[in-house]
Amino acid sequence: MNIEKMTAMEIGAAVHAKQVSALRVVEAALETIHRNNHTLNAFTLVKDSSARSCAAEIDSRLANGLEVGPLAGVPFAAKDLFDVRDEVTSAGAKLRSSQPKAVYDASAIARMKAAGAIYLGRLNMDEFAYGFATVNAHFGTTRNPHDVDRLAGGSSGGSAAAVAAGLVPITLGSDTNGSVRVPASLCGLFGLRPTHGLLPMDGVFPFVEQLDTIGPFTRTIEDLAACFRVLANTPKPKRKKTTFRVARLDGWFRRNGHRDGNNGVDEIAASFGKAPLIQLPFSEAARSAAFLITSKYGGLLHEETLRTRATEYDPAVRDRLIAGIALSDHKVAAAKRIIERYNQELQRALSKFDLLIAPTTPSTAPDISESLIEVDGKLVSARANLGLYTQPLSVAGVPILSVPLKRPGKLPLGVQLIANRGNEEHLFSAAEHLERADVIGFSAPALKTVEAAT
Amino acid sequence: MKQAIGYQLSTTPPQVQENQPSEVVAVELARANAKGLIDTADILTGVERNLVLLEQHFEIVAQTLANLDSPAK
Repeated sequence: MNIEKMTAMEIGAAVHAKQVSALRVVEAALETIHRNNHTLNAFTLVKDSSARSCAAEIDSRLANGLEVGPLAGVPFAAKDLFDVRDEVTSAGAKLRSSQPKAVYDASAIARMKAAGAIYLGRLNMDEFAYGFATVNAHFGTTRNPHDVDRLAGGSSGGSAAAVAAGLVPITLGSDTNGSVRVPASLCGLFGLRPTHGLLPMDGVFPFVEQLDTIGPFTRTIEDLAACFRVLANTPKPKRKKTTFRVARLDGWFRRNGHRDGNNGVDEIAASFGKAPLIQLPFSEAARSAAFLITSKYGGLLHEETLRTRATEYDPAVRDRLIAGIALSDHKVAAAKRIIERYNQELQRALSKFDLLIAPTTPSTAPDISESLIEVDGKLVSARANLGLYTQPLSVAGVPILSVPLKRPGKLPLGVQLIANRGNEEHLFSAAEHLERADVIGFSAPALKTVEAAT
Repeated sequence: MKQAIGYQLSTTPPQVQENQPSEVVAVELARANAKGLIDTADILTGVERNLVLLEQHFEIVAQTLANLDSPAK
């Protein structure tokens, strides 16, 4: 039994059937983490002892015929902005290392544990979730398992790298402007930004509350749907949606796209039959509006701390936060007007179509040493611009699933499936259809693999 | 080691034209300075660079709104 390659659902089923003990699953995961993490820098904290204790408890409950949850024995880990009891929530910032330890688990962590999942530790991120790269001045850069010389994406880069490398089958991240979807695309995973306000945010260190969401990363859509239902505390639906009215987003979403990304969108669209290209007006302006709003409200959250401890921040993050604080109010008001108008346009599109499709990232994973991507013929910072296609859509609060195009042997690329608020299950049904059609799916790292780099 | 930058606030805020981004950025830099957020040359440079970037984004927003509000629309 190769536990490293098993999905969460396979592990859960095997543990329930007592084909493998939860303790053996956890030991295998810990061994894989300790073997690979020095190369990837995905985990910032590994909880060996408590994970073994939790696994032993699951095994004991099963031995005594007691109930265990649907994720019994499934290892998981969380981005370093979730409160976990008796741990410091650093949010990727060294200046928070002296903060008191959390007294309670965040609700999302508590729900995962109640479902039988076993918490293995904390995962690297851009400081305070401000970035698309997981380049952290204090905790280091997280590397992409598909090519360790490349970025994993961010800000939930540790969460993505850990799943892509097979360290754990499920991780939790957060998505304000694309921080689940961007690393999911670059690491070849399923990553969900749920409906804004749907999943519990208590015990999650905020970035920009009007945009913040939490979401899972997995290697299969079945795992992702199961994890979402645990987090949302909702049952599996009795009936699935089987037909979809689908459209591809044109204009802004194809202008700077990677050729393979645009082809992937077309291939996905073709598998649904008719899927016209449509314009979503104001997408470029909505992206800029999201940039301004994020800068302003992200900055205001840190204003008091910046007055006294500015030099302890990651310089790149600090300078962006201060600039946001200084931004004039009339510019923020203008950004809000654009967002209002954009939401109307998106709702108009979603009244005609069940599913909209767009690339997730404009490129495959950039090289760590350069960290640049090309936008409109200019080389720009990957850290600030990998969210070109995720950022505008974030302002609408709708659920968006990044799915991995099937491209074994090549660097991963993701495609966004967008539905109306509360329609996560439609996204899962659509992704299941695409997975069956072999258009999307996780491809194990095959270029410069983790093993080869060690 | 911290280095004072000596950035001075004018007693009367400058009248800013929206088509002069460098002056807009200067006003916003002055605001950050007045709030006690900038006290080294390194931070000044980084913040200024980011304000220029934010200004570029605002121009896209402002131009879009201007087109929306245009009577021709």
